[in-house]
Amino acid sequence: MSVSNLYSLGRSFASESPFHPQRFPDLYGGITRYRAASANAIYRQEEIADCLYYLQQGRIVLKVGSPHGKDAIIGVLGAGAFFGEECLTSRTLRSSTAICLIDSLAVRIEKASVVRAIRRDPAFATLYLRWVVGHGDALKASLISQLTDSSEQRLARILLQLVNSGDQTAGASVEGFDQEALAQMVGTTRSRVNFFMTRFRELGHIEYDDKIAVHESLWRVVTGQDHVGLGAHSTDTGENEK
Amino acid sequence: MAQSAVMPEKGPPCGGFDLASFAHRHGGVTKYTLRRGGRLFSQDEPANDLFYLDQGQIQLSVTSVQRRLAIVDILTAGDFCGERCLVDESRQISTATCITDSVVARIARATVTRAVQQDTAFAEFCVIYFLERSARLTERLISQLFDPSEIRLARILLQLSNHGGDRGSMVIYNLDQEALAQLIGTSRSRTNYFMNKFREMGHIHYDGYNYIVVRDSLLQVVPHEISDAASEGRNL
Repeated sequence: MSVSNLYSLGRSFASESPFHPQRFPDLYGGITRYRAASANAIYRQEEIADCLYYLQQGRIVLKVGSPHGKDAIIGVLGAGAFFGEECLTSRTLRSSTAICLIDSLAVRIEKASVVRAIRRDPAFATLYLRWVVGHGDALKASLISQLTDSSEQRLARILLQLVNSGDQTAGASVEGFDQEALAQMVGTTRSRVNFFMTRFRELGHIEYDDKIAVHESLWRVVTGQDHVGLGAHSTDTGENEK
Repeated sequence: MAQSAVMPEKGPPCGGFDLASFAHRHGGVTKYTLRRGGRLFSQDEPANDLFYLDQGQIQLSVTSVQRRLAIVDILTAGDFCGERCLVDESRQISTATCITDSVVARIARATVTRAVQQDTAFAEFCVIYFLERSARLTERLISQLFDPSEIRLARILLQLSNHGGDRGSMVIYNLDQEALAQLIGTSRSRTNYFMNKFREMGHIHYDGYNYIVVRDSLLQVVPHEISDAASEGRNL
């Protein structure tokens, strides 16, 4: 499989997930279900990590702020995703802020309950391990894209990824992400994102007004068949120096 | 790494992974030696086995559609790779190549799947081990999004030299500047420039490509990460 196909992993894991939070409390306790409105944070970067979350409905972004006030988005998760896994590692603080992109239904599972479930329930342990491996693959794909792609290719990849991981009823479109948010995912400036978005539209790969419709032809940018960039083969490796 | 992962509930800590006792309980383990340059698996191959690195050093590299090469990770003794075998019908994302002579144990997918279901201590170990690996990847992704290449280089040198856990002067073996450049997504010449700079400042020492000594003082190059948010005691 080429790296370009990896972005659908998040969804395939979510859709096959047989995790039933309804049954979880009777077995292991320590579970709280709650609704979080759009734009609310479920937890914030550098808070103490003491529980795991499962997203039953909705969509969240994981946002990281740098000491210099820059923001980056390191993940977008849909229904069926686990997040907040710092509680199980040697890191004791949240590495990112989890913000609801739309009204969401989340399940909070206390750390001790997760540990108990992993130890006593092989089905849960297997399910969660598969999620962890799949999520690691998605992280690798993002890192690889950062290491090898130009920013136009990263933007194209992220748009295709967002379409794949989104709510299927919305069709092949991306909602809730402005150009600022896209810039924070690509690791570039808003003005560059604007430039590439305009070029993608001119080439007929996307359409946008309040939401962004993404066509399959955008893969041509990812695979390097269409160059729209500021100087064709620039790979932006020096971009961060500015 | 795995050794530092601690689970909170009472009971035996999951600790490390003991290959001999795993093989004794579950079977299905083949141990063999690979020379430097030998491959465990290649990108796009079907993922059928989990690999445990008993001794040596391995790099996980990826060639992009534009034929650009990137190094995703460097693994040392005690690490696993090929975990995609836990996902049905999947293929390898990367190519695993030995960068020193290595001793490797191959564990068949069926064995791993069975062990995860029957041996909760192993399942728990795997969950924590791969979460720690993901945390390392997340740190690199964040560094890639925020940091200029000089700081990315400092971070990767610190990360690679910290494999044992204890700090002090740590040594990285067998990584040339080309490999470092592929780990941080920059050119070899820029890597060379910053390596010389770090050496002149006394943060690192190297001679040829055989080893790099990384001193604690290199931490000064990396910006302070502890923000005030934690000390203010913000709660959920």
